[in-house]
Amino acid sequence: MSKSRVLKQNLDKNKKGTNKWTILWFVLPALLIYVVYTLYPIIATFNYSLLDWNGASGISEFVGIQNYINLFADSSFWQALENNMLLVVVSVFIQIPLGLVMALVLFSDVYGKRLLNVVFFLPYLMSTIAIGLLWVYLYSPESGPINKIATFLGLGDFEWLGNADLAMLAVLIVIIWQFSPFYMILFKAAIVGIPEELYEAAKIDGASSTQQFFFVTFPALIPTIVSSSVLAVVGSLKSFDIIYIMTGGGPGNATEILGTYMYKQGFVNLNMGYASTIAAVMFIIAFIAVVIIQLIDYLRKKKGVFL
Amino acid sequence: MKKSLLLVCSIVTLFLTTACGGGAITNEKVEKSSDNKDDEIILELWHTYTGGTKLDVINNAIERFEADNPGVKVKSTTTRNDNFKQQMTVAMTGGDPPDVFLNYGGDWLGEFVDGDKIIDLSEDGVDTERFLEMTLESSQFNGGQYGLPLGLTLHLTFYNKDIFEKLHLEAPETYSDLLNTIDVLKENEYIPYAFANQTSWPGSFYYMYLVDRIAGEDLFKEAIEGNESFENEAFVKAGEYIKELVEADAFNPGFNGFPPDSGHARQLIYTEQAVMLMMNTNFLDNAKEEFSEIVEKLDFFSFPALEEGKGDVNNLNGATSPVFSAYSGSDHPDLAAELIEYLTSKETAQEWVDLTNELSAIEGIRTDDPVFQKLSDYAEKADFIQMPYDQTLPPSLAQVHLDTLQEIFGLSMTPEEAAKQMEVEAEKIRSRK
Amino acid sequence: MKLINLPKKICLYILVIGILLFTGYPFVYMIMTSFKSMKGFFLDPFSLFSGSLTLENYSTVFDMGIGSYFTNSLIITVLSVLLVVFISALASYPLSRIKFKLNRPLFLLFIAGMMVPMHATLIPIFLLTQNMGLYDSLTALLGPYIAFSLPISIFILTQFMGELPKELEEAAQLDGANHWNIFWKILFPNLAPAISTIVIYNFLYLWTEFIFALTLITDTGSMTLPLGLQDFYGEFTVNVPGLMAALVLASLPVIAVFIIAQERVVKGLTGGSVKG
Repeated sequence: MSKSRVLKQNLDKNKKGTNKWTILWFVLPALLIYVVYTLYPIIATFNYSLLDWNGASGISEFVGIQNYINLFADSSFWQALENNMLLVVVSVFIQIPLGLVMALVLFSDVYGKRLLNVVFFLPYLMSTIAIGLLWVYLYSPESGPINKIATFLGLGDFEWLGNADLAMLAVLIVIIWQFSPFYMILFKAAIVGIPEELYEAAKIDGASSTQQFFFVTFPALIPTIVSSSVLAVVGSLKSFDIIYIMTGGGPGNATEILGTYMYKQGFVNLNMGYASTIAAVMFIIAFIAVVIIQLIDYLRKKKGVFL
Repeated sequence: MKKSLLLVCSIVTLFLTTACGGGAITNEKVEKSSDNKDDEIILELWHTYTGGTKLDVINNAIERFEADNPGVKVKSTTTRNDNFKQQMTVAMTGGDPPDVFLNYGGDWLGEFVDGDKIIDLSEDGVDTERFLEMTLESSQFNGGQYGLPLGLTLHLTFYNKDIFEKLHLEAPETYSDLLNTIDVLKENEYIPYAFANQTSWPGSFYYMYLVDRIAGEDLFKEAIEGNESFENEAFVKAGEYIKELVEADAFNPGFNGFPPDSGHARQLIYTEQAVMLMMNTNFLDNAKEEFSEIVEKLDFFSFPALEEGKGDVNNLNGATSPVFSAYSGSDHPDLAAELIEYLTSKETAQEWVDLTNELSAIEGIRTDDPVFQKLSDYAEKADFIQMPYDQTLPPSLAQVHLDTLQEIFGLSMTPEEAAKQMEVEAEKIRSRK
Repeated sequence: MKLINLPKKICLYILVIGILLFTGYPFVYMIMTSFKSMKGFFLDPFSLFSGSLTLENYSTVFDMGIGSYFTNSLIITVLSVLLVVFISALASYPLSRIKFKLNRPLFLLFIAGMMVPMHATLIPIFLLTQNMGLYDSLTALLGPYIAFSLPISIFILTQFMGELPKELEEAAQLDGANHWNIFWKILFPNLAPAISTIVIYNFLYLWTEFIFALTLITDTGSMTLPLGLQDFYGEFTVNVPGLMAALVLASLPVIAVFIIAQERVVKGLTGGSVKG
């Protein structure tokens, strides 16, 4: 038998005979845990979203899509959604590029890379409680360090978190600061995976370092950029902690996002049904966004753009 | 390939049915094996005291209860204030809340009462004689007594008397005195009021006092009952006064961004950059722990009289804290009620007063401490103590109150607009009932 | 990417120092705050160096018996992370390397798990845990912890595995190796960069996870570190320096995991065959 026939036979065997069982065995553990702890709550959430359900009294009544109708007429919801969209945009267009820059710096020939590697990562490893408390102090209008810098630069004093017009910006800076290192790690993992031969070939062709970046590094990073975008979109749609701790959605509802709004409706106002509706809508928006990103990625691969 | 699809689907459905079937919304209490060892009865108590004298008072009461009830153990769990409501809500909805839990009375408790989840202690023949009448009201619903209070905190203006003395100022008795005090302090480069309003309930203290001084104590009651509008001009007027204070720079900048617990406002008081702080009586305890040097410089006054107002200057703002209530689904309702009796007994109250120097909800409990004496004088003069709006109003309306008030303080909403939003939400709630 | 000329180098260092200050300052601020006394903190909350530094916060942290919280957190986090790595790698193999009809739907099903807001799942999971009789034990956390770490891990691993060259397993297939051997002996060793990423991500997430722990555990003996840290909060106050001391200690394991995981990436690559 020729080599290629054996290969083909084995591949065929793999494709037909054992496939469905092997696939199942590989996927089963994940599927079991997933179905019990994730899928069931998702379905329960959609189920609850159809109820007028008071979390305290436990009295619930089926109201169909009434919660959804109310939600779409709720101006606080739209305000929260708008803030969330801002968060998504900032995550994709500032956090990811910043993460990339940080990763590239770590691959350039600067001194003390090992130290930089750890220091760049520090924001991401600090717990959100610490971040919330410390940044509120850093933003302090009375002699806080950030205002000192702003005054030094001639920008003047700001009330940051206390000012409804600036609070969202202030929170966004913290979020960028906190999550960029995560994308840095993703990019680092991708950059080390780029075959050295590609750079060597480029060098032989006389490519400058800028050219190397645009013709070798960047194309190789596109899959990572795509998955980072998915993570950024999903992560910022359901984000909660940092805003809850830093501003609680205030002042007024200047920094309200869907996560904090859902929390308030559910655990403060005790409207469990309505809170579930917000959760369901968050889920649907994230799902649609991810499907769109995946679709664009699929088309890109098919057409061979970039790669 | 079809088979594999079928298989996956059937597994998924199998799990869904078992999982959903077992997890429907139910109030059945799941038996826990650990509860039954050695026939020992375990009562669960949830509260928010993580340390300090208040925790000691609670623990001592538990010890007395356990000593008198051999074979019964109290398992007490502490959760930080912020997270407590979330934990309680999940446990209540999931049908396994603690037997006894701390709360502050008010509508939050009322919501659970509506769902028949709280024991009516008056049915158990609990003796309510020992309590100050007005401290019982926050846990009374439909003629039942759904909780018993231990402490009574007042909302007062604490001030640095050394600075007042230096500037020849006295505790203001009228609102124009207050405005004058603010002016003098500003001229001398002090911040008049230290203020941290991220959660908006500290701002509510000002608002409640102003409404009370403008229109008297009945307006708010009437508005809750639907006989008065939340757009009543007194509510708007109170907002105007607040705007006036903000525009006069009575507060430190950025106050809407500071969480009350993280210490920005207190820091300004401790370092004597700011002179006054409107807070609950817990503040004295906090100051002792955080910056003891300041304590002897502190004194306090109630809210001054408003010249053109109808309200009684002796009226106060305050809160019953803590209140203890019991879950109606408890396996040992009698023991739960008894534990509450121990937690609010005269003996416990005496300890509370001795250790914290704050007022108790039980009549005739006194101590020699001068701070306590002064607090007690205020309370005795008061015919009425306004409980916090955000605890008295239905939760969603309380949220609108806090949000809109924060915007009034931030000058990003007019008092009229805020009043309108309150009335809209109130109307929604009325129409539901 | 060599930066040769001087102006470029200067730009690079300005950039590096900028990022360094931006990322490092708050951490240094946290450490310095942890050495301030309560009074010192209130006298000057913003400074990095106040007159008197003290170790009293650290002794407070040890006195309050943080050890048991620490151990609990370590057990549940390490166990969950190990299981997540293994289970998600298993699931990602067919999703990325075997073509079958359900590839896309299954993949989407899994990553849909990333989109669930955690607070929405609290009540169903509370009920589930009660019915399973796991409530109030450390084991109660295992299920939700694995389940909520799986989607992102499967997502990252599937994407990464999908990019590995096909030639890797072809030789093995030629020898008739079964899927298990291909997965375990050939692909798994090549996953180092991706596994490093998900280990860091999940370790951090679980190490600081608070919401599930709050909902499922009330017993002091089973409490994890984030629950234990609540002891630094009074009814209306936070012991900021004390809390920071605890958080500095809490961040040590994470830094260790990060450094080890990152080293492994470099090692795995010099010895591995990804470079192809």
